[in-house]
Amino acid sequence: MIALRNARKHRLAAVFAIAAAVLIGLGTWFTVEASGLRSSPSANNEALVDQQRTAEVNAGVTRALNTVFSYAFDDVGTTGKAASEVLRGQALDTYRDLFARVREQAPEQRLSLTTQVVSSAVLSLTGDRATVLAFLDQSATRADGKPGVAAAQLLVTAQREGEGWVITELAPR
Amino acid sequence: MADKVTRVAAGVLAAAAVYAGWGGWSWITATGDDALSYAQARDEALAQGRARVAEVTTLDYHDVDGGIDRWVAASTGPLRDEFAGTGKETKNALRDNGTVATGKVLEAAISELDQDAGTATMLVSVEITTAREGAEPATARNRFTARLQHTGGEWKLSALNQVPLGGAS
Repeated sequence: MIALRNARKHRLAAVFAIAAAVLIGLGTWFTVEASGLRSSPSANNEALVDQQRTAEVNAGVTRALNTVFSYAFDDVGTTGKAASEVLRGQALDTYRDLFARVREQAPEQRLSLTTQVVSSAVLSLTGDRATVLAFLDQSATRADGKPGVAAAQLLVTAQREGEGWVITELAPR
Repeated sequence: MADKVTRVAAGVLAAAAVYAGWGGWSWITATGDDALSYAQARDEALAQGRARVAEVTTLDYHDVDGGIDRWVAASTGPLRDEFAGTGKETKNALRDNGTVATGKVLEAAISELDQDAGTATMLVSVEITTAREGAEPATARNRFTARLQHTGGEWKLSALNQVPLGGAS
């Protein structure tokens, strides 16, 4: 009789144990699903999700591109100064190489360049880093010739610095 | 009185129930998270929008009908009507033209997304290679603004406009 009662009691324990194992399995599955959703690349990218910061980085990059890629032959110094304020790393190196030639030729050829970002969109925004796709129109004028207009597409990598954004990488697209 | 083994098992079961409940709640809130679902819609629109733009910038003169069918399948609304209305003459002209155009998306980004309306705007830079027998293939970079519409569970193109030079206002 006692043996039978023990078996029945332990059967209840076994049922509890099996149910517990099933619940632990379910709990693990749910947790994996939830953290998969929360830590996906989509979830970490705040572009458009955080409207205000998206607009902020978009405006910052647009302003920076318009400034550093516009210059007047009689005032290349202003542009050079602006570049060191908003460009860093690879973006600044590339820009300096390019600008060394401009600095030489612009006054001689009376060359001026006006750059305007016509559209731009934030591709990613994660913490203090962002990438922005920008479509630009660049019109160059020489004192002697006709103005020429060219299209450019840039993928810009920006980094938050203080209150604003600086450009760390520029890649043509 | 339950014996010790049963009490321990009951305790483990209770703890397991709490764990499963917490996990389930966490999953439900993650699924219902507006920001998460918005971010997912954005990336889905981007991935599908890129594929659709590549499709409508590609055409092989060997298979003009098949190519235009793919254009129609990739689009919706006015753009679809335009593609579907491609006449015999245009098709013959495309066949006689003897070119294979291949569009490749270099970069794209969503600039606007209205999840409720199921519409999005995408900036896209496309390299189109045109190959013709007996000639060097030519590549050209194009920039477009694409309008996307979510229809039948998929993002399709409702407009594709070249961003013109000097188009800045």
